[in-house]
Amino acid sequence: MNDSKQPLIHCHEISYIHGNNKILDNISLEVLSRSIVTIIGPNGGGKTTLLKILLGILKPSTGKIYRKKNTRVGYMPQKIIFNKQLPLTVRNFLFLNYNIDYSNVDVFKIISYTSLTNILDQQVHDISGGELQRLMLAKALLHNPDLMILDEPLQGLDIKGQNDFYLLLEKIRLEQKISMVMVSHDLHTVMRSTNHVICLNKHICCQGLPKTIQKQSYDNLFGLPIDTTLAYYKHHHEDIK
Amino acid sequence: MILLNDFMIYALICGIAIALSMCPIGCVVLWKRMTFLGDAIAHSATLGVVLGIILSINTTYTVLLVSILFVLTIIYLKKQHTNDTLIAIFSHSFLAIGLLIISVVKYIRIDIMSYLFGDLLMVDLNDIIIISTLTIFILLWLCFRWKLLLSAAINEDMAMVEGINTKAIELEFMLIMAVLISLSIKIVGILLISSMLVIPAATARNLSHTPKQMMLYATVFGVLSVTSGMIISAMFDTPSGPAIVISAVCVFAVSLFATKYRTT
Repeated sequence: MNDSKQPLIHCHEISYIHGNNKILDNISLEVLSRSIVTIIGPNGGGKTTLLKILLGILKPSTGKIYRKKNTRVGYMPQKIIFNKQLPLTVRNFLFLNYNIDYSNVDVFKIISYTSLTNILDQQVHDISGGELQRLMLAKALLHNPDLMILDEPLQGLDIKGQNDFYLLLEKIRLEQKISMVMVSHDLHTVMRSTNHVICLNKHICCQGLPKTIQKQSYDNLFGLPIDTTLAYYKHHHEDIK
Repeated sequence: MILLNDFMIYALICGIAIALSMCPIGCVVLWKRMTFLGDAIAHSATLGVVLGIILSINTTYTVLLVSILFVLTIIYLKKQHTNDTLIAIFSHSFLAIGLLIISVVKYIRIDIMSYLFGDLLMVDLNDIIIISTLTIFILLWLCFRWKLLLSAAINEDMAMVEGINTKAIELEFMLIMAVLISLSIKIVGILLISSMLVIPAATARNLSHTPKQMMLYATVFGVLSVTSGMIISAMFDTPSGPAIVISAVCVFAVSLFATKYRTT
C-alpha cells in the first residue's frame, strides 16, 4: 500500500435528517489506514447512524463522503436477531457470503482464531452471547477487510469476555493491518490502541486521543449532573490488559 | 377406479405443481416474517375479480394487475410504516372496496366457497401449462437468487454491506408472490393459498437444521398433503380444498410429536 496516507474514508460536513429530527449534524472525520477510531456517545446520539453512513447503507442528507477505492469492509452489526423460523447452523451462516473469493482468505485460521471450531454445527439461535460476537467477527473477517466497522462489539460480554474480545481484535488487527471504526458507549472500555476518540451526541462534542478526552467533557456528553451518582474509578480507558 | 378420471389426474398434477412452487416460497415468507402477505394479496385480489367482471375482462388479468399494484404500494410506502401494518391496511381496504362494489352492482354474484377453496377439480390443460411454467420459473429464480435471498432474509444491513441490492430482491420476491397467488387463486382459493404457504414450511421448520433442508422438506410435505388430500376427497366425496388443508395440518401435528420425541 503505497498510498497509505490517503484516508480509507473521509466524511466532509455530513448531516443526516430523519423526518424532522436532525440525527447527525455537521460531522467531519477521517479514517486513516491502520488506525482505530472509536466513537463514543449516549444512546440516541447517532452512533449507529454514522456507522451506517460510513458503510453506505444510509445516504447522508447533506455533505460528502469519500471512500478509497477497492477498500474491503467487514461489518459487525449491533445485536443481530436471528429469526427462529429460519434454521441456520453456524457453518451455514459463515459460508453464506456473497462476493467472497475464498482463495484469498484462510477460512480455517479465522475459525480457529475465533474459537468457533466446536460449534460449527450448532444452530445460530442456540449459541451464547460471546460465541455470537465471535461468530459475527469471523463473518466480517471472511471479507479479508482493510477496514472493520464494529457496532458495540462488546455488548453482552462480561469483563473477561470484553477483555478477551479486545485481545483478539488487537491480534487480528496487527497481523492483518486492518483499520477499525468502532462504537462503544463506554469510554472506560475503549481499546488501548485507539488512535482517535470521537464523542458523538448528534454533533462531535470533542475528539482526540483517549487521554485528552477529559472526564468533564464526558459528563457533559452524557448530560450527567456534576454531582453524579456514578463514581469514577479514575480515568481508566487505557487499562484493558 | 375413480382416481383415474381425467379431471382427477389434471387436478392432481396441478395441485402438485402449485405445491412445488408454493412451499419453497412459503419458507421464504416465514424467513422474512411475512406470513400475512399471502392472505393479504389474496384478499386484495377480490377487487381484481370484481373489476374483471364489471369491465368484462378476463378476471385473471385484473387479479394479476391488482395484486401487482398491491405489492408495489406496500413496497413504496414501506419506509414510513412497518410491513405488517401496511399489509393489513391495504389488503382490507382493497377487499372492502371490492365488497362495496359487489353490493352496489347487483348483477355480480360471487361464490364464497369457490373464493375460499377454489376449484381444483375444474382445471384444464391450459391451467396446468400456465402453473407448471410458473413453477419452473420460480424454482429457477430460487436457485439463482438463493444466496442473495438468504443473506437478505438473515440481516438486511449485512447483506447491503456485502453489496447485495436488497431492495431489488424484495421487489422480485413480492412480484413473484403476487403472480403466483393471482394465478393460483382461481384454482386453489384463498384458504388453500395461505395454508400451502405456511403449513408445510412450518412443518419443515420443526424437523430441519439448514435452510435448504427446510425448503426440501416443505416441498415434500406440500406434495404429500395435496396427494393425500385429493385421495381423501375422492374416496369420501368431499371438497378437495379442505381435505388438503386437513392433511397438511395432520402432517404438521405429526412433526410436532416427532420433534418432541427426538429432543427427549
